[in-house]
Amino acid sequence: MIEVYYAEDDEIIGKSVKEYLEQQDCRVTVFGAIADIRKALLNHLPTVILLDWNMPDGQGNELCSWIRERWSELPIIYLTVRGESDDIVTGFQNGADDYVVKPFDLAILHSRIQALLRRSKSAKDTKLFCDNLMLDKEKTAVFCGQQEITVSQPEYQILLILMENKGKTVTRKQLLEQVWDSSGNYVNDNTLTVTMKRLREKLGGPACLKTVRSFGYRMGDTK
Amino acid sequence: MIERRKRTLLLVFPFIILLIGVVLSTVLSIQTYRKIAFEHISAFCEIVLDQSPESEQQLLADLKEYHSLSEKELKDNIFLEKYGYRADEFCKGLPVHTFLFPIILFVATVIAVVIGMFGFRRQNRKRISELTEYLEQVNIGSGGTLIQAQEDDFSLLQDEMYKTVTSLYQTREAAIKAKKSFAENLANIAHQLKTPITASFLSLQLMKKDTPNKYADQVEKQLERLNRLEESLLMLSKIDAGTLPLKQENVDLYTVLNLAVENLNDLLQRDGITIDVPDNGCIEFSGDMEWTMEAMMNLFKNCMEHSEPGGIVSCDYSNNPLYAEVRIWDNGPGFDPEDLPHLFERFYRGKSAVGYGIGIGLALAKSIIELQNGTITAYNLQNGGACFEIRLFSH
Repeated sequence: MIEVYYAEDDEIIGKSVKEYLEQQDCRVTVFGAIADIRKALLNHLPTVILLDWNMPDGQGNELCSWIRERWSELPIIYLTVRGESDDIVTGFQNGADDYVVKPFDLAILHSRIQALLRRSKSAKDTKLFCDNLMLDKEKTAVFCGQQEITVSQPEYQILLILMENKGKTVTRKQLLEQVWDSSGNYVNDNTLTVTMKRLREKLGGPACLKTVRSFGYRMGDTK
Repeated sequence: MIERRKRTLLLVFPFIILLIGVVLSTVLSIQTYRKIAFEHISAFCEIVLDQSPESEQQLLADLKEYHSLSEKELKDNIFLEKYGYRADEFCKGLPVHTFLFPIILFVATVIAVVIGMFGFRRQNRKRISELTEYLEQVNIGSGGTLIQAQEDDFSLLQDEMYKTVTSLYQTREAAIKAKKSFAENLANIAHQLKTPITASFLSLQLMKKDTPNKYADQVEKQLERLNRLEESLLMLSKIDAGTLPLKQENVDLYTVLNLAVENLNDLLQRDGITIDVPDNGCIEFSGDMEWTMEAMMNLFKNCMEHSEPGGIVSCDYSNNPLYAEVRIWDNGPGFDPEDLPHLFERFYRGKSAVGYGIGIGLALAKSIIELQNGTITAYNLQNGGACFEIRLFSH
């Protein structure tokens, strides 16, 4: 069972999320203040944390940094009214794993939670799956259904990073750094855009590869 | 203080020269006068004695009498006129230096006056150009400083200028502050609005899950609309207050256009419209990727709204040494001629407006592009489609 801690000061929003997620077989505890959730975290760790940005006794990002100092692997999702790109970037910089802007769809929130939890194991597997896509690390090959797709080195690298981080958003900067900069080959945004577009075309425009506004890309199962 | 003395000196200098000249020439003319009187009497006596040496005693006695006379007693003596002599026939062939000196004096005075005036004017001009430069710097916003090195005729003017500029600065800062706090308040209210919208939206979703009905769908649509309005309010307030944090970095147009299309993917799929982005290579301009993308998305959306299902929205980008250009066009009916002049006005809803638009998208796009030193124009293509043309200038 997924155990969720939710920091939210608005009672109705907290209740609605709790009600929906509990129907989906999660256990949700809502905290109205940062101090309360801190106390609870020191006693017991949940599976995932949902964080509101504006809390009566402080900012959600302070809590996020506080959590990251202690538990680097604990999944955190921001649920906030702040939808501007600067806020989103700050949120991720503070260690959030995902970011959902209010108002949101309850079903989407649930699928994001599930995607986030699924990814933790995948880095160790030699075969990565997402919808009907399969990436075989041993063979360095990409399959769409049964058919093997020929991809170039950077395209493979991008797909590998995205699939290893399934359910998590990867920034364009991260992709540029890990695919090109690390091999001493500095390129600009244009190269990444072109590579990404080719990759999408080769894979037939998969719905599981999403562009995350203001941030980057994310892969996640759509079914 | 030294500077002030220098200026006074500069003013007094010609008069000193003049005074010296007058004193000198007076002394000189007295001496010349004496010398001439002596020479003339002496020569006259010599002639008399040469002619009649026997009258020496008589002449010396007369000379003694003449010598004892004062200038006053000699004045207006016209005794010789009886014999037909006139004053201007005396002293023929005077030496040149007699006239030379007054001329030199005159020239020296003139030169002194000219030098004095020139120096004075040069100083004034220097001060004026200093003050002008200061005002120019203030005008271009680099905030020049005035250093009061000396006290002179301009000090008062400089003081007043400095005070005026300072008070203008203060007024401007106060205005900016007020604008910022206004924008912050608006942003705050906009964010506050989101909480009840979210709460109602979530409750509605739960309600729909339990008891689906058509009224819930209507409420949901209105909530979505309310949410969009709230977002527009937030964005417009930021643009108006000038607090939109626009970055200045190299942005690749191909990336901007592609990201805009990718972010519109859901809408495109729903309406069955495709946006074609040609790969013209990397063309960069200096600006903000996110906001430029927002502007492009709004333009694409406008074109999509006027396209048939299955239609194509096209774009193209290019550059030249002056500007980078993006064109976005559709194959729809084009703009109504009556709408054309008002397209980018806020809250203007064209005759052919569709959907839930509130007339913000194009105004927003225009603001974003203009904030980045760009222009946007709209016109109808020859075959009827609507076209937006964006130019982003590099300087």
